[in-house]
Amino acid sequence: MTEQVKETYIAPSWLREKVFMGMTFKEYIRRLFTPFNIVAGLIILVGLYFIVIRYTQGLGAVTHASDNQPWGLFLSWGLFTGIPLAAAGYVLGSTVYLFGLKEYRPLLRPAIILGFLGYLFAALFLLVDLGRPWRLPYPMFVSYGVGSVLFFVAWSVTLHVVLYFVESCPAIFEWLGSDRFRRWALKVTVGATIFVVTLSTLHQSALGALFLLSPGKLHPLWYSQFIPVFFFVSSIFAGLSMVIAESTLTSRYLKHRVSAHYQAKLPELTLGLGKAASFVLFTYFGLKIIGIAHGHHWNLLNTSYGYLFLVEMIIFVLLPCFLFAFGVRNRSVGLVRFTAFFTIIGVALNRFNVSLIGLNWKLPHRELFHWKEFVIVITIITIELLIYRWIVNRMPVHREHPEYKGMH
Amino acid sequence: MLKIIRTFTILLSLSFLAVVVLGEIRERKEPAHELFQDATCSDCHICFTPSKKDPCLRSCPRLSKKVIAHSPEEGPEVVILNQLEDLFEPVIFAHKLHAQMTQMGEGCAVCHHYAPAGHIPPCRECHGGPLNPVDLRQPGLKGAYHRQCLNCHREWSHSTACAVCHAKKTPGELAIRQVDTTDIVGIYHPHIAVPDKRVYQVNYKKGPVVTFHHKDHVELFDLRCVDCHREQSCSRCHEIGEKPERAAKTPEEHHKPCISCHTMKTCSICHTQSETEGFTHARTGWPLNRFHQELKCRSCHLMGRKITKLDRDCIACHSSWNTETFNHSVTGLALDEIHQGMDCIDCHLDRRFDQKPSCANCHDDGRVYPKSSPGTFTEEKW
Amino acid sequence: MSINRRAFLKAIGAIGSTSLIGRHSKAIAQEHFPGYPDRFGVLHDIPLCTGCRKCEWACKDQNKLPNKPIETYDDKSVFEKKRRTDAESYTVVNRYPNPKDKEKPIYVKFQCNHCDEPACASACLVKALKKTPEGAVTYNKDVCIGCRYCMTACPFYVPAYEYHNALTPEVRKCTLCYERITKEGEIPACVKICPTQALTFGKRSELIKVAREKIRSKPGEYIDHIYGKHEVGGTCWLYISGVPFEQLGFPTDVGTKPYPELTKGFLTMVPAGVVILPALLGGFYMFTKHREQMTKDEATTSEKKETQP
Repeated sequence: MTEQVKETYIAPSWLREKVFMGMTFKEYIRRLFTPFNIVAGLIILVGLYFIVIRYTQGLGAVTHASDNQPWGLFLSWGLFTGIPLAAAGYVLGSTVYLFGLKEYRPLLRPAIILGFLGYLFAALFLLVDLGRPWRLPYPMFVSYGVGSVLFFVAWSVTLHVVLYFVESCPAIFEWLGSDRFRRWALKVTVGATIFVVTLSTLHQSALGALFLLSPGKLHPLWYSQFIPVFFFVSSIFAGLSMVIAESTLTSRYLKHRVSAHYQAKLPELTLGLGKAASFVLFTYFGLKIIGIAHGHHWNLLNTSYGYLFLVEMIIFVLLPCFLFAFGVRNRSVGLVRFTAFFTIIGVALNRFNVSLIGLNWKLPHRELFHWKEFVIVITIITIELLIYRWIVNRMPVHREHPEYKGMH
Repeated sequence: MLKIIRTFTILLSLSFLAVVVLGEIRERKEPAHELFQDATCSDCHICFTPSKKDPCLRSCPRLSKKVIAHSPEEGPEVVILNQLEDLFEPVIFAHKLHAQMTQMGEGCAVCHHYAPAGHIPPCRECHGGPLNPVDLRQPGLKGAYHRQCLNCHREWSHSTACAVCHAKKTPGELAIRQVDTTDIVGIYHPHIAVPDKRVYQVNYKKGPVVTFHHKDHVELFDLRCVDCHREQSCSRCHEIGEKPERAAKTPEEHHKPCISCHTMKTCSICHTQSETEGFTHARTGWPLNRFHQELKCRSCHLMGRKITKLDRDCIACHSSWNTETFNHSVTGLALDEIHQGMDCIDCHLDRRFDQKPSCANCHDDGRVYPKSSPGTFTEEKW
Repeated sequence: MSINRRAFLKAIGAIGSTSLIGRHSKAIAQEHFPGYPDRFGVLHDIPLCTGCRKCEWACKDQNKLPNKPIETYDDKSVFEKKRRTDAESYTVVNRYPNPKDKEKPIYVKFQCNHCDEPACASACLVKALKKTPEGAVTYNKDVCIGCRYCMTACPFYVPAYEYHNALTPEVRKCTLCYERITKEGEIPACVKICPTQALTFGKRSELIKVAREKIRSKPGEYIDHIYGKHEVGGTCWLYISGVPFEQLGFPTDVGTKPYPELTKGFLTMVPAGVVILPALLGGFYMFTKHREQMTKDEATTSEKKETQP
């Protein structure tokens, strides 16, 4: 597990305090054997096996190796779904810092950690997917393909990892107890936030703009010159839903890491987020309708791809839009939370439709992805979850650090 | 002053005329000229003053087909293609055999798209070298040969293997092997017999028998094979490999070769109750007399046109005939001196030469031909 | 407050550095590029192709790809299904039924079309794919990171990838024999071997003239369309055919707009966004900050007022 890797020269007492959560090493190891951890460990073992295969026998050994459909599950999930879900960071960042809605501050740190991990793992998925992963920094330092949307995406992903890390620094330094660095980190947070929001706005849409180059390949119901706008707007409610979903899971399964203050405020904040999500979903639905009307594609709705499109639009956009509104009106936090998960599935469905299912729709034979790809994706998601839990267990994310109470 | 105006007017109208005429000439430019807008005159013409009658064109490049009928016997028996022998063993091409094969098709023109009267230029005369990088329009010799050969062979054997024609050159072998042609000389394509007639039983009650007088069509109506046998190819007769199933012909397809000439809508022309005789001119309602019988069809029915009903008026064909030039005695009646000077229509009313002449124009005593004759009958009867 | 202003200034500095990127993307997104004047190309006269597949052999021979003896290329069974280019074959010939004559199927050679403004090159984030003045779209394996966006972008499904190479996979496609034509003054290997000269290599401008002339001089044999003259803004491979191109597997919905134009609008927006958005967001931040300050001040003055009397 990732925990053991943290071998360091610092005095054992520090290690025990910061890493083993106050337990001795033996105690800590014993406590790791929970059913959840065992299942997760098994998944990771199988997944790591396939990852080793990928790095020894090539991508072709774990994917369908299709020249027609070069992008598979790694990118559809890791990049095209992972990035909008990581939008939680910039959505909450702008809410709290730029629009001054301070009451949402308890949700800010988890959101930023979500953003950080989202981008970090997007990069990790890229490392699995790229032909020559060690060349990942090439667009930054070696050869500049400035005419490419992907060039901008590459820079954005890198900058996001760095900036979200910077934004996470206060939490990290509070955990490590380094007061000087914490204050230094706080100073740059606002600048970082502004930069993150700017970049995210452009870069969420850039992910959509990647598909502008595939007019003949992407199904006309999803291809649109407005696709960057669709991607940007949907990333907002994806981020909002992600925050609701995260807070739901944490307040349920990691109760002891969550402050009473947070727990008390959460229902009201959830309703607020739900209200916002409902509004954005409605806007998105309207935009999509304009997109269809603009392309005169009404006739395509009565095809199998059309049905898929209708499922996406009605069940996963319009329905959550009303469910959010209904939940907020009836002050049903449970319904809003359920709808958040539902919306996340909807966003994932949209990104899969664009990057996998609707792409190359004209080709007669195609396989979407290999089961081994799926195993690797599940593995990396599991690792991501474990790391998130590791962070939440140690750093003041959902609570205020006793030493820095009220000092934000 | 008047003189000046007149001169000016004349000059003006002359120049106008000149413009019109020149414009006309420009308009009437040969279509080929449009294709070679970048070329200079001497690129295509040998002489300085080419005319429509004698364009004095160089033998290449040739874009348009020029075909004068030649017979297979005119060409060589074997042609050895050894221009590219640095790559391959020479190809021994059974020229005569192939020439005979083309007789069902367009003849020599199947390959020789430029076949003027007399000497037919061989491929290499225009298509020099393996590739022609200077003029991209024109295939090099390699392309020219392969286009001709493969165009039929791929259909004939469905094979494009090099070994069909080429013996692979052994590397390192410098001396060119003596070409042995003995196994080719004297092998000819069997004569493609022209059937006399074909009798078809068809599913048409009013006329179940269709007699097609094949020989008549070839010999009398001078149709070329390709006029009817449009989709002819070697593989049509020679079973090579599995033959694709031919779809049953539709009634339209069955009638297509006939109705291009037989435009009338009467079925009974072809569909009869029993087999019909071959063509005689009498069937058209005009039994030919001894002079006309000798003629070829095309002497009257003009070459290159459909055979149609002609005007029976003698001077429709014999346009130069009149009282002075026509010797009436060839009809079996030598006119006497009185009648010799008369106009044809004086007796042959309305130029109806096939009907009995009338005497009523001059004689009102009711005499009739031939009881009273305007001359003496000779042995020869009309 | 002062601390935060400094942070803000830092952010501005960061924006300045990104607008450097912005300037480059602006340069890319310039007016329409008419294409290199002397670029080469190949004219594929489809009716002349006999499906002998010698070009496939010659291509593999030239590019040192795994090859079989030339005799094996006479095998016609490969035409049973449609093939595409892959990592080990830069060109393939496919067979299509001939609506005019069942006995003579139509054969079409397929390879990279070497677009005048290639989608793949505009997709490449490390400039591994490049359009050369000679016409070829070349690939530099020394910078390629293997993201395969070029494959997604290519409207013709040309680039292929070495999926079974674990650590040094390359994107593979026809090079128009770039080295051969520039260094040896030769013509591409496939063009050279073609027995019927269904392929003609030359300056693209010349080839268009030749194609026009062929179409005009034999109106029954060709349809009046040169595929590649306008498609995707023009390609260096040009095709003339006797039957409509959609019957021969050519994508006919690719339009005549160069593909890079599709993302041009977005890319010009990026530098503008990088400058405008921080200003706007910084403004919001200042408003918020000011409002906080005001409420704080009001609170203190009201406190003072309460204490004064």
